[in-house]
Amino acid sequence: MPLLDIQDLHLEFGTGADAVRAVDGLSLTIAEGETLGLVGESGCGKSVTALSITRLVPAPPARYTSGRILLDGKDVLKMEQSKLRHIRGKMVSYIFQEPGSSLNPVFRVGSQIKESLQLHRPEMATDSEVIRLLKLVGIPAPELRIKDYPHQMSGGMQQRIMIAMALASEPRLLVADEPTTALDVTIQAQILDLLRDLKQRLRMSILLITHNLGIVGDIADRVAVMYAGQVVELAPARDLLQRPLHPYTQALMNSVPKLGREAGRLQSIPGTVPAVGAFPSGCRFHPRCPKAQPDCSKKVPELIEVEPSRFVRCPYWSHGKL
Amino acid sequence: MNEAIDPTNNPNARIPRTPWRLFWDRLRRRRLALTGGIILVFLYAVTLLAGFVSPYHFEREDRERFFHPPIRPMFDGFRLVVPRFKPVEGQLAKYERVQGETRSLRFFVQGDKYKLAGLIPCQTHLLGTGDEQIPVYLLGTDQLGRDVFSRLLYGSQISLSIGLIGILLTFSMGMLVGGISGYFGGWADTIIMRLCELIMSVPGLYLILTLRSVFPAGMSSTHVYLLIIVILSFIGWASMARVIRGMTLSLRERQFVLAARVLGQTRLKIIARHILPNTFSYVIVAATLSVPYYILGEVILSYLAVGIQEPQASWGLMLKDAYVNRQNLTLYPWLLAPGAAIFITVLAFNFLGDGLRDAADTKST
Repeated sequence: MPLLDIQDLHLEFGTGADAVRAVDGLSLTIAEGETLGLVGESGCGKSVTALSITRLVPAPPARYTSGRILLDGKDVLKMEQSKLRHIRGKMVSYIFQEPGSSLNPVFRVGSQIKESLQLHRPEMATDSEVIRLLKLVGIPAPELRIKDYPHQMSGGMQQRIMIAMALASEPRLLVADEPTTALDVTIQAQILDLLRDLKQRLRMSILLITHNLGIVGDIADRVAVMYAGQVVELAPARDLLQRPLHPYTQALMNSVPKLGREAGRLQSIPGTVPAVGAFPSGCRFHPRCPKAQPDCSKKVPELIEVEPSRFVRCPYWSHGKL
Repeated sequence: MNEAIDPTNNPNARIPRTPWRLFWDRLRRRRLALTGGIILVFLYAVTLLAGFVSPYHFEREDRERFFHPPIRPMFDGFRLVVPRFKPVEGQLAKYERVQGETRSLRFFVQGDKYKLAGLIPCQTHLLGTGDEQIPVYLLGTDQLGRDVFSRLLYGSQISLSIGLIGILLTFSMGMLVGGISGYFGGWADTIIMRLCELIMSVPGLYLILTLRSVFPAGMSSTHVYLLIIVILSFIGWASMARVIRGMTLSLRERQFVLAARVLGQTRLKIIARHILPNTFSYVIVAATLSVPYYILGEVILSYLAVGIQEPQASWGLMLKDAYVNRQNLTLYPWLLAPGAAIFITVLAFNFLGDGLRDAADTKST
């Protein structure tokens, strides 16, 4: 049984005729100890999916119209509030994009980590445990640093503090929502190294959300590419990066600059991500797709396993080749 | 200002400056605010030791010397002495000096019994003559021959503490209600905010009078004192709750609140631990600036004869007694001493509050 099993999740905002569907039939699994990369442009439903795992999307206005989110076999969408609180932070921990604003500016970082300990491992809510966690995430001189306020730290340090807070409860699933987007490239690499190292040492599962295909290859076992509320491609990370199948994934790959290669012009994807609620008919990518066919606007494609453990939502793969 | 130096390489190079430290550094540069603060510290210290600093008990009546003008100690060689006065025959409230008769002003003299800080029984006074016939009335006496200076000090216990306890009540209530209203939103928010508007829409003075008339007239001073605080707080919390609600609405969208939610923190704890502490810089300033409102509120209640009752002393009550008619004020101007005390206190609070506001503004220098 996978640790997380999202089955056919539909999430709408608003009601009746005004309802807009932000997540449309999303299915994902994460096994124990596995790292799944969830890639997509802004507004494609990544973060909403991540927050849905512990039902943190405020409802209303959000509404789960169908689907299940099984966390360790139990459906989160049917859980009581009191039980949800035990899952939040305990079984599933989060780290976010901007560490600076995720830390409460008026408390010392040590006491914020301790808050996490008090909630989930009250017997361990001691300074020595906080220092151990800070060492774990690679903060130099942790004895001095626990007395710091968030604004006295650099962005990379702040993100390490956030990771320490997330790890304090010894979670089984760490949801990292764009953990490196707000950081410098060098710091990005450090944080990713840290995550990879922690994943091996603590054997936890990670859901890594990013819009940067470049970083998933480093750390993810499998990658799911999302577009306009749907998964369009799901594959082992190495295969996906070497040979992307869906035209959208291919376009994404072409828009990432590569070092050491003869610099041509970077390709951009024409057009913009359709707004939630204004999705085109048929295949949602067809207006921007370089390989679009006339009937792409009519038939709604399914996510089909075209090769062992490789899934693509593009009708031409069901016929073999594009 | 930005110490971006790695502490592991050079531990001495890093001077940790906490938000409070920065706040203090900015406040310290504001002379006026600092002066206000020092005056207030002094006033409150004296208030706490009112029984000791005042030469007489506030209820002590000198039947022979009502409306006595202030008596100034004089230098006789190197001693401070208090001259003796006696009433002028046939004239009301006129006193003349008895030449050659003086008593030296003594420190730590035994006198009326009192309780130090309301607890420790004591009868040592900071200064006095120790002679009933040659009293030292630094600010004169009132219509019953009571020492105005002593009553001023005892009165400050009421007038100054009303502000502090009042804002404590108002702000804890306003913060709690405002925090809940803003964070929970929805119907809870609607109900609470309409309630606030209801309270705020009633003219304050009538609300005070109505609330006061609900309670019996002949209540003990302690009860009246508590009642005044409750009434003033009851009127004040609504506007506070509205401001805190507004701040909460913005704070709850901040990511650290989401971070607390994903930790599984309860909603009330998120409000108390993560949202309200972020309003403190505003709250401290607003609290300082609204203390005068309570001091003046007590004056108004006393003027309407629904405040502190005789023989207790409060600044408002003393002013009311002084202003029986205009003639009284021209003849016995020293009775306006509590007015001066209110003036100084209110001004000090406003100076301090202004300085705090500037210091809390991180963009100021």
